[in-house]
Amino acid sequence: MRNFFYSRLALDNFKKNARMQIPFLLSSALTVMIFYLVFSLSTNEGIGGLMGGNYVQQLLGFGIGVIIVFSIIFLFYTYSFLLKRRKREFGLFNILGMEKKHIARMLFHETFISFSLSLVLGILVGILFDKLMYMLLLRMIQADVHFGFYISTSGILCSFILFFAIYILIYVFSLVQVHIANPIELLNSDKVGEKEPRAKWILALIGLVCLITGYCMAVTITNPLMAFAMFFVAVILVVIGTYLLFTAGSVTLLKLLKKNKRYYYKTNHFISISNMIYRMKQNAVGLANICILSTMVLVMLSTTVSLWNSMQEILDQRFPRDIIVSLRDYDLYTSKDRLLQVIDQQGIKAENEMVYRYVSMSGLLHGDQVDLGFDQGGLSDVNDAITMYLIPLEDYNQIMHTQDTLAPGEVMVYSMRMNYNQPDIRIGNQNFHVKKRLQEFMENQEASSTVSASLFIVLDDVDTILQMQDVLEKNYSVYNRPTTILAFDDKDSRSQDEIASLFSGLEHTVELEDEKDYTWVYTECKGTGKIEMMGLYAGFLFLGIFLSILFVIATVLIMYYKQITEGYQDQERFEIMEKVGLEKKDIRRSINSQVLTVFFLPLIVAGIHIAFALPLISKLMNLLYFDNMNLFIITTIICFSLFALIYCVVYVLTSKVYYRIVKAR
Amino acid sequence: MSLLEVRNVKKIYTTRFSSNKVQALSDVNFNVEKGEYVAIMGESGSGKTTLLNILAALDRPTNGIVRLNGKDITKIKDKQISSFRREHLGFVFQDFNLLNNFSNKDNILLPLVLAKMKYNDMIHLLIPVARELGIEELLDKYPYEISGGQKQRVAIARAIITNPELILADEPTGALDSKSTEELLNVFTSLNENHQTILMVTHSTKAAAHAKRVLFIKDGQVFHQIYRGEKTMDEMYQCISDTLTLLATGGVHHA
Repeated sequence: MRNFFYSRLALDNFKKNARMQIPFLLSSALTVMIFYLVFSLSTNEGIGGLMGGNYVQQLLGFGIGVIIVFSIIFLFYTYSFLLKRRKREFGLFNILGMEKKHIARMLFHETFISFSLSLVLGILVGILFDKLMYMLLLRMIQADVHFGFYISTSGILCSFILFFAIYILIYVFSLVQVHIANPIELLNSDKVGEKEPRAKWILALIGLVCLITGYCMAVTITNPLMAFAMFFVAVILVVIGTYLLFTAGSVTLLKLLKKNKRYYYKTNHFISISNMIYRMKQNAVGLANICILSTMVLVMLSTTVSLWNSMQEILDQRFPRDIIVSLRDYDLYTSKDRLLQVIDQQGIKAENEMVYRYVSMSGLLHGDQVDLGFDQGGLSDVNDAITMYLIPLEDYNQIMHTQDTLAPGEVMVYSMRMNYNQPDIRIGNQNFHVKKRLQEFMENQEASSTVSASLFIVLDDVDTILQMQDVLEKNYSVYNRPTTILAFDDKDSRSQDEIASLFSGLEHTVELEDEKDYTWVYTECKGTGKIEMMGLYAGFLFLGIFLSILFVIATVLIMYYKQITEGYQDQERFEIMEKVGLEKKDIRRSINSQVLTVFFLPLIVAGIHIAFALPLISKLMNLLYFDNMNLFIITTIICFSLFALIYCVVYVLTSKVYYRIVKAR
Repeated sequence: MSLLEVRNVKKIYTTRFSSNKVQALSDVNFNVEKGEYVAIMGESGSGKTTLLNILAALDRPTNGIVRLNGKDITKIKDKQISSFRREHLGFVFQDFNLLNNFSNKDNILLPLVLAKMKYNDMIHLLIPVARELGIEELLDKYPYEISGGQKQRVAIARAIITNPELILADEPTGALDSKSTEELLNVFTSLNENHQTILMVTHSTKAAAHAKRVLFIKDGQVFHQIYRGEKTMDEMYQCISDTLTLLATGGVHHA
């Protein structure tokens, strides 16, 4: 009977606070859904068993961690909003004779209802979408779609445990809140005058410095490896900068405007500035959150979508032909024939054959001097590091169908991810004259699979190349076996393993006397590479989309609560102003301008962040073999426009609620 | 010509969802002369607040005329009503209605800012007013930092800084302790001595006893009035108190 009373009361409270509770419930349910989806997909054996599927699951598994941390912060944060608004109600209950333990009991029922509803709803919708996502994923990595229903019991269990823990935390938090307050305080908690915030010059300045430093780093870093190392530093600087500028910076700026009497004591400025100071004090953190979340959504979506869209292009670059066989062996004089022989002997129907030899070596480039034999591990030298590929003229002419000639001591160069404009080049202590700078060159999968600046150097003879290799080994003890590449399209489209076994006869890996007699064969197959790559990129895309949805929900909910809270505060303020003689249309104009500013500031700042992040992120994406800046920029612009559209829709919807509150008199 | 003329004012409220009509004011008539200090008394529900809202142009009567300086304020267009209120009337409320996000100084200057005055001119007006009310030291503080009595003085400063023809006060002592009430009433008296016309709605016999004339409202009309004349404050107090008793026990219609 008594229990029944509390649950009735809890349900009534739910209805009464529908404006606050329902959005919270929905977002909580959506968070459960996303968690269940990602968990289920990352443990689905149907995906794990697929080629490329394990990449997807690894990435999603990483995503689970992010989602857990985020759900805790997000639900806790939004619930504290809710609780703040309800303090008055608790005070009333208290005065009407409910003891704190009764309120605690009522809250328990409420929290329990909220928890069960969102869990059940979230998991049901999750199961429904799970199948859809599963099929979508299979299609993306071009696997066969099996029908049937899949329910992840471990997913349900884990969702239950996670959200049970979160709700317990929420419950304890609300108990503490109720406990530390006395009834009168609870009743008047809305009306306590808030001190005007002080201008915080130092914090504002630190924020500005952080932001500018972050931006500068993002714009000036040119090397992908450097970008990788500095990315997080830049991100943290920008995040700190954003928070400080939104909180301290905005108030300081407004205070500065307030000090200017001529500016401040104008009808529009007077009301807007003094209201904005309070608005920023209360909402700055929320706005900064919205801004950071928006930026994250935009970065994730634009990068993952760009990667997915450019997959074919990246693949073609890495795999000029279906099959690539690399023979690692010192005997460059016979290596080509040995490879071609296999094709004849095994009766492989090869098309578009391409065979060439090269030696690769790393060095530090200063002007036209390449210093060999440096330690590749050091990051300090990373900006000058290049990889050179030495290729004999004979092979170059054959593949590119040219008749170039080179005298001894002459070279032709082709530069990738760098510019080389010197008339000469000194490699170690050997000097070469650059006869020609080449505009195009054959694809090389070794160069495309790294991110360092590369210089392709065509030399007159294989002997010259081997001499240089010798110098390298003797003087610097750098051992790097010469490579002979055979690339071809296989009409029978054999698998990587089949091809590998056909060429295995060339290998000599059994104990030999001379180190130089060892021979290795590596086989790469476009098909296999493609599946792996699709798995990787599909994983990225899925993760990007899931996290984006989660962040968008968070953004929307924070905006919604912000509007409601502000609505209640502004209602009273504008009532007084009207009594004192402010015209209705002025009030409306003032409200509009303030709401617009507060609402669109985060979006604009997010846009600026993205613009500055573009160069840095594109460098990072080089690490994933992505090189198409235009595609990336266009994708980012589309994502931003879409996001801005959603943002505007949310604005229209939530501002309706806001105006309804302000006008309700 | 009287400063304020109220003729046959009637107000009927109709609720939105029923045909129930509530008559708040049936037929109110009175004049206020320039330089007068008038208190309006009446029980809860007698229509005091309705009357004040109509005088303040916050509400319109169903019937009747309200003239301020010969101008019928019930006929003023909505667009001009705010500026009319700002230019001709000053308000003092029971709960002060100060904005916590403005300093006291800015609260006082608010009507001037709305009237688009220059900053230097505002300060010229502010200094004497602040001195008169003894709130010079409070100007840079915020409303939540000062006591109720001080708040009400700031509110009065806001009301008189525009030099209005009429000050309308709605239960100005309602939220104050007895000491602050006494101080506030002295402020009103001294304002009135400087020829400021004041119309005050109040419950408090003590507050009404400071006025030069007291109107009693019952059942939506002016029931009785007392002039202070040569009476002392205590005599006035006694007189009002007697009238209230009479009103409560259902006396004969005098007015």
